[in-house]
Amino acid sequence: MGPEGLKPGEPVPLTVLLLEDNETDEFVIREVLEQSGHVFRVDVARDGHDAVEYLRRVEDDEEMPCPALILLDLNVPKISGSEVLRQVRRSSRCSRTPVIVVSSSDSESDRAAAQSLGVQAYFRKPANLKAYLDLIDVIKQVLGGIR
Amino acid sequence: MKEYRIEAMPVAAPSGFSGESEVQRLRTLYQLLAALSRAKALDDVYEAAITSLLAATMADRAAILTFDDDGVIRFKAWRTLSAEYRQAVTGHTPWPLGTRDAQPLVVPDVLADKSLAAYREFFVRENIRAVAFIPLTLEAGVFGKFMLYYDQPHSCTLEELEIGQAIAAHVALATVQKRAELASTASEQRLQAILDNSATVIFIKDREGRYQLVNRCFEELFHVSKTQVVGRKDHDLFPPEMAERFRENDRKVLAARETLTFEEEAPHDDGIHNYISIKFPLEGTDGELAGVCGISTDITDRKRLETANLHFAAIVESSDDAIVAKDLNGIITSWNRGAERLFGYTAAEAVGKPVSMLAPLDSRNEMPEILARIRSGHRVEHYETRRCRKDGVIIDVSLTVSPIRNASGRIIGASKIARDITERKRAEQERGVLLAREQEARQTAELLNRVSPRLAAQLDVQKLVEVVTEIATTLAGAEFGSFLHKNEQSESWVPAEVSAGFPMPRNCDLFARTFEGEGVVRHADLMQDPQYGRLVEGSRPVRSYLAVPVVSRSGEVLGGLFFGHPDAGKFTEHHEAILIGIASQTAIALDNARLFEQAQWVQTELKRSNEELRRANQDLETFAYSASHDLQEPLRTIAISAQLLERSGGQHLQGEDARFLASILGSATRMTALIQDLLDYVKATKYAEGHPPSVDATVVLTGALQNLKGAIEEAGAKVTSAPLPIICIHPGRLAQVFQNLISNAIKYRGTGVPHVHISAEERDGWSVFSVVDNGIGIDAKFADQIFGLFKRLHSRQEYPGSGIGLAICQRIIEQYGGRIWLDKSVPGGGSTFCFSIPSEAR
Repeated sequence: MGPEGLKPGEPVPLTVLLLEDNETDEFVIREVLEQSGHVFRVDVARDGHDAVEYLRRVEDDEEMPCPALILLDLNVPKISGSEVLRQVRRSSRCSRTPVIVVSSSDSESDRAAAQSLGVQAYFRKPANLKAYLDLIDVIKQVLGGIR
Repeated sequence: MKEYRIEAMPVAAPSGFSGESEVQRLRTLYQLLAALSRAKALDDVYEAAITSLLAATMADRAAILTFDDDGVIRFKAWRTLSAEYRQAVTGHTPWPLGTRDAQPLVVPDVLADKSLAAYREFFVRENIRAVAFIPLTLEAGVFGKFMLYYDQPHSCTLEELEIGQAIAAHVALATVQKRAELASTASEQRLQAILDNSATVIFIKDREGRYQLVNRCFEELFHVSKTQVVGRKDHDLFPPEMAERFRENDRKVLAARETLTFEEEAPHDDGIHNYISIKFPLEGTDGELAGVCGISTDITDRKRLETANLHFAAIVESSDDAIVAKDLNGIITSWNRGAERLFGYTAAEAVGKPVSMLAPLDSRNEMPEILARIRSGHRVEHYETRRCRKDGVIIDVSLTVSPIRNASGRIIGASKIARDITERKRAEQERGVLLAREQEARQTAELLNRVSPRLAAQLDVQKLVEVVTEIATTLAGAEFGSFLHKNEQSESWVPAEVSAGFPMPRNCDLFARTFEGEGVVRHADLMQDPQYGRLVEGSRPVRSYLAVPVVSRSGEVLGGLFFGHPDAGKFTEHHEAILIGIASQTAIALDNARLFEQAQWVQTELKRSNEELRRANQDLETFAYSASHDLQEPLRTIAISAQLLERSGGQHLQGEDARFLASILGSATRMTALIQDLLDYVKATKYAEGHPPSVDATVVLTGALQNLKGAIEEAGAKVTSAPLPIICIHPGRLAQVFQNLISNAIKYRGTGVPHVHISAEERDGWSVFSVVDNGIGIDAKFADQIFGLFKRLHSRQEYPGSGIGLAICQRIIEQYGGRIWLDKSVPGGGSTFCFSIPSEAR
């Protein structure tokens, strides 16, 4: 991964860290992000380990921007999304980064755990394509006044 | 008195009496008559007489004398006669009292008459020369005389004598009349005095019942005066019934013409009084009855006294107590029925005998003592003593003796009330014995009470046995004490430690008797006993022996308490009683200890199985969740991918390809739903933890209907229910059942307003609920199938749903031991589903 070149006059893209192992979901989420009204650059981590590595790189390298938004799936291999979230909150640079949990689970315990760790929204992955568009509203709400 | 004859009768000489004198004489007579008619008293009569005599005759003075009751003639009236003269001639009369045909006598010259010689002196002094005697006569003869006195010798003319006799005749009559009047008045007055001072009521009524006479008593009692009463009738004075009664009695007397006695009533100020009335007829002058006279005596007090006496006598007679009266000499004067019963003597046998006959021989001297107290006016109360009945039986009695006083307060005897207290005394004695026994029992119970908490607290059987043995041995006063379990007596049933305390050989049938349920075994001295004597030889023999079995509530002999003492006769019945008590406490304690052990074990087991259940549930839930999630994830991706595919190449996909894609989508969706349902099924049907509480089915139904509100409103359905019972089920589960059944009923509705009715009835401890709908109904041959998991009778297009609703219901109901079934249903005619749940009482 690396920063992409920017053409002059174009808005600075917001970096989004997406932790998602399901390619289909990744595809749909990318579409949602595009339609959200913001310009995003999406960094995808396929498992928790990758995500933690990514965060460490961000911690160490001042040049790398902190993601403007983190979209977490809880059920990912290696390190769980919850653990990643913990890391996010413990980091020095990105502790305040808005996090939206995008998960197929709707168990109470998952929601509660996410709540206690401080997420801005919890979105349940639908089985319906159209319902996925609701995520746009959530993103808009979370990012609020940025740009 | 001498009889005097007139010596010479002067021939009537015209001595100045001419026709004029005739007129004069007549006038005098008229005057006399007038005066006599006016005369009130005898004196007036005499005065009138003298005046006439003097006017009619030539007498200078005159006098009237009459005989008194003592036969002496005395001066009653006179003119100008001295007292001495009168005194001198008093008693002198020519005629004795009662002489008939007496004729006037003249003495022309008293000084010449020899027969009056005795009075010559007085004549001289009185200046009397001639006298004439004129007799006063009535039918009965002479009763008095007139005296005419002349200062000069005089021979009376015939006229004089005639007029004198005429006057005498009139005066005689008048005198008699007046005397009669006086007598009558006097006697009337006497009579009236008697009447008025009488304390009885006296009255006279005429034939018609009008009062003619009443005495003062009558006046005072009835507050009337004579004048108000006389002439009136009873009906004017008294209340109608009483008046009628009086008149009736009067009529009886008039009819019977003789004296009759009646009891009558009359009103006094203080109420009705009773009278004894003696009424007798009064004869009138014509021989007919003139009226009735009555003499009435007030007997009210007497009657009251009589009634009181009767009452009193009745009380005495009917009293259960013996009431005996005796005079001051101790002779029995009255004897009631109670006395007959108590002492056995009849009244005839007892009255007149000395009361001392009732006293048993040894106590005869108390009677005089009692009498002495009575004589001094004291009462003797509740004096307990013994008396002898007629049949010789001695009884205990309680006496109360009081003095009897007569009306003037003098003590004339004593009244004795005697009560048989033999029974009471016996009861007291018995009570004493019972009290003593109760005391003993209470002491034993207290002892046991102190002991039993220690025993009850001991749930460890071993310790229990130790405690018991220790306590019991002390209480028994034994040297050796031991508790032996029955099941210990197989081969070596007297453990060594124990046998050290109880030095008896092991193979002893003595002990066996207790284990075999013979009850308490006690020997005062084993050494004396032929069977066991040889067993107790040795250094520490047991002579006193006591064994008490310990028997559980079920009757099973658990063991026995055995006690011994080197001395003989140490164990008494009292010890037995105490130890029997301890034995029963021990049995209870042992039972309790056993139960406790069992309970402990059950508790542990229960806890363990509960734990397992919880863990199983947890595992299931976790499994279900993760399984469902893991299963659903790929399905979701299939769905999304298919939709993406549809979106991107939808219009290009032709015919079958499109159908294939749709089929992928459809299956993915259905699979997702199925997995969700499966998850619901697992959630709904895992074992609810804990004992099902008692819940009000009505409340649960209300909650379920609330949850179904949207569906009910959308269908326009009417859901009704009858009052529902309280049942044993977890409320959430019941809600699930209601929701599934009702939503089915609404979903499978027919045309028209869907109607669902829920009711329940009690059947043998189960509440059987019915859910009735008017929906499309079910063919009876599918009645069992419909409860199968995922089983449906319609396609998804016709009615949505996965077919697990009834399966869930069945799992839930069966978990509570109940049953669910399709009770009746007709295609097109609605369905009735029933399920049973234990009612609260179970």
